[in-house]
Amino acid sequence: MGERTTRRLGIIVVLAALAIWFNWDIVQKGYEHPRALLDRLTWQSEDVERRSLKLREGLDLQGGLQILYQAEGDIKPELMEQTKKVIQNRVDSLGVTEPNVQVQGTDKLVVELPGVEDPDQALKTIGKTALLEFIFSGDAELTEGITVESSYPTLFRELPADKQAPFQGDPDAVAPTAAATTEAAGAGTPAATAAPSPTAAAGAKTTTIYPSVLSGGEIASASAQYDAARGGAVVAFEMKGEGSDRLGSFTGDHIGKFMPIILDGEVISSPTVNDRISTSGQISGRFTMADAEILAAQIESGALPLKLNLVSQNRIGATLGKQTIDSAIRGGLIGLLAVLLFMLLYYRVPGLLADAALVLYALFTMAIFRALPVTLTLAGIAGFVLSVGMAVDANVLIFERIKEELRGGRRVTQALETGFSRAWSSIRDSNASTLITCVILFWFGNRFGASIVKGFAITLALGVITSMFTAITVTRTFMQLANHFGWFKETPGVASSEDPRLKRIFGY
Amino acid sequence: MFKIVERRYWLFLLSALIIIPGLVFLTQYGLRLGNDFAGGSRLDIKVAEADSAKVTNEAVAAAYKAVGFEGEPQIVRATDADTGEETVQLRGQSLAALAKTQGKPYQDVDAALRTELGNRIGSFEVLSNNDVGPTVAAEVTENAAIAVLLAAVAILIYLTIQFRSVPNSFRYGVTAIVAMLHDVLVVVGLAAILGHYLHWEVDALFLTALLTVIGFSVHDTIVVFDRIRENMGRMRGVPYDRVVNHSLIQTLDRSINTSLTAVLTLSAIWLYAEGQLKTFVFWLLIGIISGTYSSICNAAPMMVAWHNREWRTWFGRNRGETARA
Repeated sequence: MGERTTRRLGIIVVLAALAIWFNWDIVQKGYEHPRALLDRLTWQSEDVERRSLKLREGLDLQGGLQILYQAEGDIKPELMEQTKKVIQNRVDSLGVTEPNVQVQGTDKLVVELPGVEDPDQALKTIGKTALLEFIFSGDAELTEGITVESSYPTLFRELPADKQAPFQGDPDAVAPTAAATTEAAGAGTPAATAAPSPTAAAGAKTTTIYPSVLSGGEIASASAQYDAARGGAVVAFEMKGEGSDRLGSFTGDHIGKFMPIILDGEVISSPTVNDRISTSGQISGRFTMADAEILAAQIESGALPLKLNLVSQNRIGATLGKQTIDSAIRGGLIGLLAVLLFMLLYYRVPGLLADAALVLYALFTMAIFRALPVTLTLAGIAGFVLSVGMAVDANVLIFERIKEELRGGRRVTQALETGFSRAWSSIRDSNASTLITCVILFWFGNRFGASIVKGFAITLALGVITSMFTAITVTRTFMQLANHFGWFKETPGVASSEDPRLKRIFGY
Repeated sequence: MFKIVERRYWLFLLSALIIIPGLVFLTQYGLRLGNDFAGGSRLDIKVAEADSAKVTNEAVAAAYKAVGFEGEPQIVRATDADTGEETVQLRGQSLAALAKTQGKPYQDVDAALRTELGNRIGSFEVLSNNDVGPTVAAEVTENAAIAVLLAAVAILIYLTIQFRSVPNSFRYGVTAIVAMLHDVLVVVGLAAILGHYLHWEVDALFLTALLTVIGFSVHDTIVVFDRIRENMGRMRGVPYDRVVNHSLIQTLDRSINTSLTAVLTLSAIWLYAEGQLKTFVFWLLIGIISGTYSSICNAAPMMVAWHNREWRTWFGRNRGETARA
């Protein structure tokens, strides 16, 4: 046995030991309860603990919610990062085990909440912009609770002089629908909507737009406090440097006017400017201490620098996911057994060695998936199964080649050598084409946050790479070992093309 | 022995016979695009048997109208054979787009729709709910087209480089791409047919399957080409068509066995899987079978046709004149 073979064997044994150690819980389960794994196949037991595999399950497997938001306004990468952080904070408050918040492209944000229990509540919590604004309403006091429109993201100082007071919006700019008009009027907004007339239900509605002085993004810190003088709760805030200059110059110019504070377009208080405010101030309104605390928290961590619109949403029920994973695993296992059997029957002894390599392959990929970890999706399972097909393909290529060489009358050792070296270029080129498509699939999945597509690309690619190692290096070492121990002994004096023993062993 | 190369025109004809019906459906009816590409909303709900009669087209349409939807929602029903529970698929325009026009948060419109539905058809369970706005759908479609093109170009470049030592290396890449196109047409054509008769939809998973098929098809073709490359060196002086046929026969066992193992595993999943996964695996199966066929019966024989410049004999002149080179 050559030194290289010994060294390779050593590496394989070490890796196999590592993989077994890593997958010990599964191996042990299979040892302690051999039926547990069998039951999976025979559908006997419903309570086989899937969770014990600790594989990360994707949205489509455990159910959950995926949301894609598109930001509006002046989009800069750092603002997107900030927005992401805020969303991350809100998502964390939901208590989902493995949430995923990711910026996608320049202006999109994808949020994935696998296994979320109340998707409606989640949508509300995350979807809330919590965009806090100070607006200018001139001499008009706005009623608390009404919904108004502001010039945001265009700020007061950026508006042309004639628009630096509440102004009538362009009727075409607001897409009016009958429902929206009635609701707005029903909410009783004296200044915000024109009286709805049945004939002018569409197209004729104008809305007052209030100049936005500044947004919550410019507030550095906020805290709830009890104001003894007013006898109520207030939110005290500190401005960031640039914001304080802006607020200072605005309030200085507009003493005695109303500067309402709105949250997502809803008026929460409508104070008058009593004095020049720059670095710090107070928001007072009709709220309790608890309300003030929530508002302070929202301002501090929750004020989104960008407005987010939901552009796509995918919700998968948990039952649907459970059904599919069980059927997929069952189908996959049966398929794998069929392949193991096929290899054994068609390729005989080399087939048996390839099967051993295939079992190692399963152990290795499982360890890799769990170590990274790879999120397992439905398509991911299919990708894994397909990669098994490719792993087998490499062995098929090699064995067919070896049989050919033997038929041609070559000696076993030489046939093994040629089989592996000649098959290599085919294996390399064909796997390269699969890897190329994997890269492109990953890119495609990344472009629109399709974790299903990405999961497929990753599992297939990892599978292909691992299979190149097991199907080539591992099988080769096993074959050389088998040859060393005399499994492939030739009948003396007979050409290998006619050797009955070799014919039985290799199946040609 | 098999005369694959010699019978190439019969094999090309067979491919044409498979592809043409699909192409007819594709041009006549197009593909049935899912939300991922067309945008829209899909709500899969489960209704108890007692309430099943309440789910009428009118009731559903009225609920959608009350929220502000334009146009009629589409309703597809399926009854679970075991439990007798009815699942209903409701489709309409995108809620996200509707929310934007109405200037409301998405979750409000979403909640309103479910309240309206509940008022009219009684309680129901939401199995899944998918909504894709038109801009996102347009982007996905654009990216999908780019992905397919990129895959083709990348493979073409890779093959041309890998086969650079062989005369006319470029032809190997082009032929592999044509064989790949064959598989794409088979899959897409069948999708058009099934979309027309069974309302199967083309979604992001379908595209994933298609891209995988592309990879697999080329994978198969490469193994055959690789053998041609090897035999070209060994069998000097042997006519090209015989080299190709010999290489095909040498790799035939492998091509069929590899396909067989993939088909075995995928069929097992296909048998047990349901819903999305079943469809996904179905497309993989069709593509892999087509890919194996096209590698053996189209790609390599096409190399011979190109080598002989047979298109010169297609019109009028006697075939065979230039068959040997």
